[in-house]
Amino acid sequence: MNGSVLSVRDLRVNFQTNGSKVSALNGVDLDLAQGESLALAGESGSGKSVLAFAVLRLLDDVADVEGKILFEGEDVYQMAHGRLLDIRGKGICLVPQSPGTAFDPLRKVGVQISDFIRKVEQIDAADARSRSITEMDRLGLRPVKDTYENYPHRMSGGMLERSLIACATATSSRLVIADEPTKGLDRRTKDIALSALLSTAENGALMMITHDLTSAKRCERTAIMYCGELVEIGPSESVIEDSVHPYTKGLIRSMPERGMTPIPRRVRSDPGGGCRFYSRCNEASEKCLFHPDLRMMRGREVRCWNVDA
Amino acid sequence: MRTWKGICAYIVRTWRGLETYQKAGVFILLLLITIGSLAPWIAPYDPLQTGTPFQSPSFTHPFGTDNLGQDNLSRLIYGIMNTIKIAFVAALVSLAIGVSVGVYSGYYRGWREDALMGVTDLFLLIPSLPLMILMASYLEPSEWNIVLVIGFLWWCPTARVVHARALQVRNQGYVRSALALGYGGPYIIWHHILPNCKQVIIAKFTMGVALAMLAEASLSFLGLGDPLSITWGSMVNLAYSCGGFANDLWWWYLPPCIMITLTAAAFFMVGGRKNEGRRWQI
Repeated sequence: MNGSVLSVRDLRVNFQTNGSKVSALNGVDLDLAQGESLALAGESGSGKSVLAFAVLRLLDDVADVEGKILFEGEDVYQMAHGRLLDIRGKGICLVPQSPGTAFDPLRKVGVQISDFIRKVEQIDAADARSRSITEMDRLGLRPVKDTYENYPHRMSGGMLERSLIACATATSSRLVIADEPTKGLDRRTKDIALSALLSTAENGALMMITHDLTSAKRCERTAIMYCGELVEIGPSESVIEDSVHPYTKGLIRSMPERGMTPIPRRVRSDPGGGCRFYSRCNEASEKCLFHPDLRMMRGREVRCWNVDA
Repeated sequence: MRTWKGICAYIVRTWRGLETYQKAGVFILLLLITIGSLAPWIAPYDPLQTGTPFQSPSFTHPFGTDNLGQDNLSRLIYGIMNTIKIAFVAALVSLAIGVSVGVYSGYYRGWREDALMGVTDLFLLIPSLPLMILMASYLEPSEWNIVLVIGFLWWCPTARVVHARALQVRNQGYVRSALALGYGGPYIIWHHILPNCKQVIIAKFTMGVALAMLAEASLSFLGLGDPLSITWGSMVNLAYSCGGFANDLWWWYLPPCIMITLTAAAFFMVGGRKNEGRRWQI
């Protein structure tokens, strides 16, 4: 694909635990083009973060990873270790999920940010410092000089989250993968953080993992994950405002402003051979005992038998 | 760049963070080091100057004289720096080896860990004091033998403790984020693993100095140290071999024993950390 930043082909990730096999990702196909932003939503345990880590080849020794991940045409799982270190951070920048533990408690937050900028952009310490201060200021971490000199334990979760985002937005990585970047932020700071993240997508791409469908709507495309599979993927407007998959509809219904009704029943640990959502679906029929494929319907791809074009 | 002001502020902050007994330990050590480094001006006599042997304590010789008539107090003061220097260097050597092995195997894991920790276990099996006696008696008598023996034998406990701590630290979120951001092993070890192992490294170092002092004293007492260097251990040895113990000349052998105990205790005090007010955890 022309201008493709990331393409994931039939990605399968299995974890081996005491003899039993847990499948975290079950054949994920995904493409991110230059300048595109994608939101990845789904319940906890649906494999969103595993996907992020798999893209960075950080699951290497704990999981079996099958399939292909191409970053700008290069297979992440075939490249030499040195090249991989180069791509992590410089090519693909991860905003990790837990801001509370993502910073070294013994080093100043600002120093950790400018250290990273220095490494990626190859600039000197003073430049890196001023650039990280600018970026922290843009993200509303004020008074910025004090924040720069602070240690992580003296900052709130929301401040640390924004500091993490500053790492990604101060550098020009080709792909930013943000794992729940709006956690712990209020409306206004969330807006600032989202705008900063989306602006990085202008000369690269953004993949944002989120539970918050309102934030997801600001991305161009939204993908909904369930049990390690994409169940609906398409333009955010149509996926969120006019969803067709029963699972997506359930997620929308569980939003606070849409009635806050959770999806009934729990995720089955062994989903069986049919549709993985079968046991919880209120629209299930006999056809659902067979595994559905993603089909193009009404402007998006859906993995459901019961949706008609 | 750190300025003088910054360094002073750092020292003050560190000092305030210390427990009372740690402050006491630091105080004792600073006092000893001051006296020791000013030995040529403070000591009343040249430690090698001979005179009337076996004198009892008096105003001219507060701790009496030894079998050659050398002033015991002067030898005690000159012994401070020799003893601390040997112990310090020995502890430093064992610390350098132990920390490298521990951090390296703890961070990289895999076959490197198996190999290095296997070697550590092997070294732990070697009984150190008999080997020290053996080595010291075959090598030329020199104070650096002790450094060699202690340095190359006592890194194992340090390696194990640092290894355990490194295993904890490498699973922390910040190490994982550093990996995700493309930092390589050396950077992560230097900037994240080592600083976060600081506590156990410092504790192990001060304990190492104390233990090295005791080992030096034992070897010197057994006559395996350098007979020409003035250390507290060699003073006790002299008192033992020249009748100080037999004739109960306590002012000869007791002061160096007390000094060894005091200094070792001071090092333990600096490095030790009280655990819930009950136990001493090193």
